[in-house]
Amino acid sequence: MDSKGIIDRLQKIIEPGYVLSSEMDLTLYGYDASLERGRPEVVVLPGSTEDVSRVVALACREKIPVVGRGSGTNLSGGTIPTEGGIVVHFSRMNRILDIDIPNRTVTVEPGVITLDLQSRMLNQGFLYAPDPASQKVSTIGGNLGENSGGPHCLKYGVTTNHVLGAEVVLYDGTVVWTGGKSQDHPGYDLTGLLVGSEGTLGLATKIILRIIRAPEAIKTILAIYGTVEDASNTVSAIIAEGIVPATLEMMDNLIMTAVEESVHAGYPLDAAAVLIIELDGMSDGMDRQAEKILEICKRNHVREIQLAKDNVERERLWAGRKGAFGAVARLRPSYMVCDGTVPRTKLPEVLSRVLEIGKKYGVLIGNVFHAGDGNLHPLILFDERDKDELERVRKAASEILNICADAGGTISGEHGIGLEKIKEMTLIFSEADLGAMRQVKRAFDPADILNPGKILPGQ
Amino acid sequence: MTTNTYRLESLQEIVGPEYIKGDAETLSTYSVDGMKPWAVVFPGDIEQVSEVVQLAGKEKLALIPWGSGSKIAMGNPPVRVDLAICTSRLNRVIDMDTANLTVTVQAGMRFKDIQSILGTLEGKSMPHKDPADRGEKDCFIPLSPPCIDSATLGGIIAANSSGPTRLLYGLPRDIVLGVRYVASNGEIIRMGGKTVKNVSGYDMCKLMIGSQGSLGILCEVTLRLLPLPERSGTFVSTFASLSQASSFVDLLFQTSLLPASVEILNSRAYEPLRPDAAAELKAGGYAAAVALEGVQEAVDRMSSEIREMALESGAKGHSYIQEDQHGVFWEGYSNLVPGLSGSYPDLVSFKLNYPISRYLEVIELADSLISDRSLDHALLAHAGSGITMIHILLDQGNTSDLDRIVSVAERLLDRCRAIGGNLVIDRAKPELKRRLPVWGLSREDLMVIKRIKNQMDPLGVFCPGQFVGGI
Repeated sequence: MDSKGIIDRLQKIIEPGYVLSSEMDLTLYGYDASLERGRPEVVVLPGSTEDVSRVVALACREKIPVVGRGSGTNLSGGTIPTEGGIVVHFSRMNRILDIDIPNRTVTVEPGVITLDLQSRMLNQGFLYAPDPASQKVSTIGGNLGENSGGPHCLKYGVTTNHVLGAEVVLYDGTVVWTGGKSQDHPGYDLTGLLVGSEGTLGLATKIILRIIRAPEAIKTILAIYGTVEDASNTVSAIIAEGIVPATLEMMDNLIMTAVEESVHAGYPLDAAAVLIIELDGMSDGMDRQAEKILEICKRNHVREIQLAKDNVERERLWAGRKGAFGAVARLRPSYMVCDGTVPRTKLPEVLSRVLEIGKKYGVLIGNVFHAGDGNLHPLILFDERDKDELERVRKAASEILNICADAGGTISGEHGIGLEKIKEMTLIFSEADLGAMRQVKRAFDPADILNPGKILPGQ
Repeated sequence: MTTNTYRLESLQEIVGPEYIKGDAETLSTYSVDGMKPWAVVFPGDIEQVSEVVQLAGKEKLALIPWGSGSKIAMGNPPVRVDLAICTSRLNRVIDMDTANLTVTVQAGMRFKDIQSILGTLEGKSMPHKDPADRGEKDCFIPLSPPCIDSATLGGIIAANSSGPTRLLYGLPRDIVLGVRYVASNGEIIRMGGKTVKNVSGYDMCKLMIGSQGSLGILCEVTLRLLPLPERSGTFVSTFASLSQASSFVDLLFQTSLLPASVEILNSRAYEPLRPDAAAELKAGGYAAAVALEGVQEAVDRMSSEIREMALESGAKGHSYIQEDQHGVFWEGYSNLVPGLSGSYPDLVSFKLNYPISRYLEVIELADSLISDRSLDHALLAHAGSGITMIHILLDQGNTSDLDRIVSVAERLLDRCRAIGGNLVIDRAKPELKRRLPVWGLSREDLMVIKRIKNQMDPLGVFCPGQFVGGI
């Protein structure tokens, strides 16, 4: 790419001060929350859909890669520019455009921070349900790109179940709307394809989200266990008895220790594992459901149970869970988080194999995850400056994904394939399967300029 | 014809001579908008489906995937029909994993059959169970599609079929976890899996849902299950006017109650469901049916508060349908169209979609346009979803009404489009379909839709011409 020439032309499209190309800028926007590193040739901060459209049209004509970026909290390298090109950073496009309670929708620009949206909706008695742990920092656009999950997905589904439509800039700068405020438009579910496409099919510039009335009542339980096995058996038992709580999260001792030092959520430092079980909905019958859950916990040797008395206690319990990834920095400076998902009945077996892998490669592994939907997050803790340790960590992570695939699960529950897991795609997809996905990519982006080199292995 | 003899022989080699039919009666049954295939094949497994599709590609045949044919009336009249592939022999359960709340079935399995198996893990029957017998492990697929007596899972998913309980449990896109299908080149493709959390690669399941067979033949689907609700029942109330029924519905949606469905029905839709209670509802009157599913205490509270709201809105009559009859009522609802089409074989069905809050305006317009033209119709609305279904009760052989129906459809389509919705013809004779945009008006994303079809079915093997934009 003729950097200088392109930068000049971008400066004619984008407002002054929002085309970045200093050494520091290019370094800063070449990383995300994964272990991957890249380097763009220029970063632009568009202010409008038209800006994005003109930038992408230019990139298409000049065959320059384009990588969309929200807050860069991506965990699999999806936000890393690996082939140079233009990073399109959505931080300026951060307005909530339309709150439409009667139609149960809210329309936002992609740079809106997820927690900000949720707080705004809760103030009006409504809920935008997906709550990825990164919500304080991550953006709706990023959540759309990754099809983000979060603890409440057990009951409410993931981001894609809450995206009704989007205004999208296609590979050549064309702008189209997919979906809308009405449901059941005939045709192909392009919105459904876009969500989780990691910026490789189009860039969303406006997003219509579904909102629901906030639940009338919430009960949050912390269940404390002497063994990881008892905790994971409880998870299966709760589902087997016909209860689908709003959340079923697990943390082990290593994680709790790190969290207590940083967040002081009140987790017991001598327990092997805790479950955070939340019920929400109509208040009627909730006490009885909570009793049933307590019975199940007791049958599985729970050591102690705490019920959050009020919202303050509830927030404290959750602060610990949501701060987990950040807290582990106290133990080691780097982490590799795996994102395998397995059928929940396989959890006890898979968790014990994960521990074995830790021992085999001599690496520290902590577990914090969405036990209710079998979405593990073994956090492998290390120091990336130790190249030998980094290599052992990559091997351990790859072996963990293998176990998940063997157990009938998948290699990414919510963090995306990005760069990091491209080589594992063949664990779960045949060449024919990958071929079908390549057809979709070609249909959307025949020029292969949108976040190239991600998700799909080369042929 | 020599070419067809060769093809017939090749098909016989794939599925066996007893599983390919070419008699006049069969060809008539498996026709689409009056166009007959020259043979119907009944493959026994996904590999046979794959071989048939490969043959079709080589021989440039147009294929129609066929489950039970309950939705075959949807879509533009096909450009061409050569072979119908019926999935009736693909009717087994592949994996039943209620502990993990998933089930995988072959696409030709009837929805009713899998639903009763799930509810009979300990040998009891569904949906008319005695609650005292219900075991804790019983589950259900949280869908309530129309034509429940015949619809197959493959067809339901391909048509994005849904029903009243979408309000609480969602749509096929919220329930399908994985699929196996045969692509246009005969390759067997597997997408998704058994887990809800799955972002590996593109979400191709979403692409297959609602694709009306235009991208591949669904052979297996994996679905999310839910545990059966502890209690269920239905509150039905009748009103002298639509505006009273709508006050009731609006009151209900202002609360934090969580009904499973909120349906608005006109008298012609209500009569077949409640023949004893039909006298309550004179012409012009409207009924509201609210399904309640959940824990005992929540269902009790909902039925009592909802009764208050109905009375407050001027309900003329109301009743509570208990658990054992609740399933019967909603089965009747699901079978309404097959039932009506018995008396009115030339039934014309529209499906309107629009933003939720505009339902009253849409229904009022529909009612006035239709009655102005002296037509008769059954109307059902999913009140909280922005969907209304209208079935024009056309006497058989009556062609003089076609102009009037076209005029109604055009006006309604205009209004729905103006407010961000659409109107689709779900069922009509070919001569009527040719006079209207069957899929409503195209949207700007059609260009991407066409590119996807071109990539995935470049030869136009599947249902050519039937889908949006004539793809």
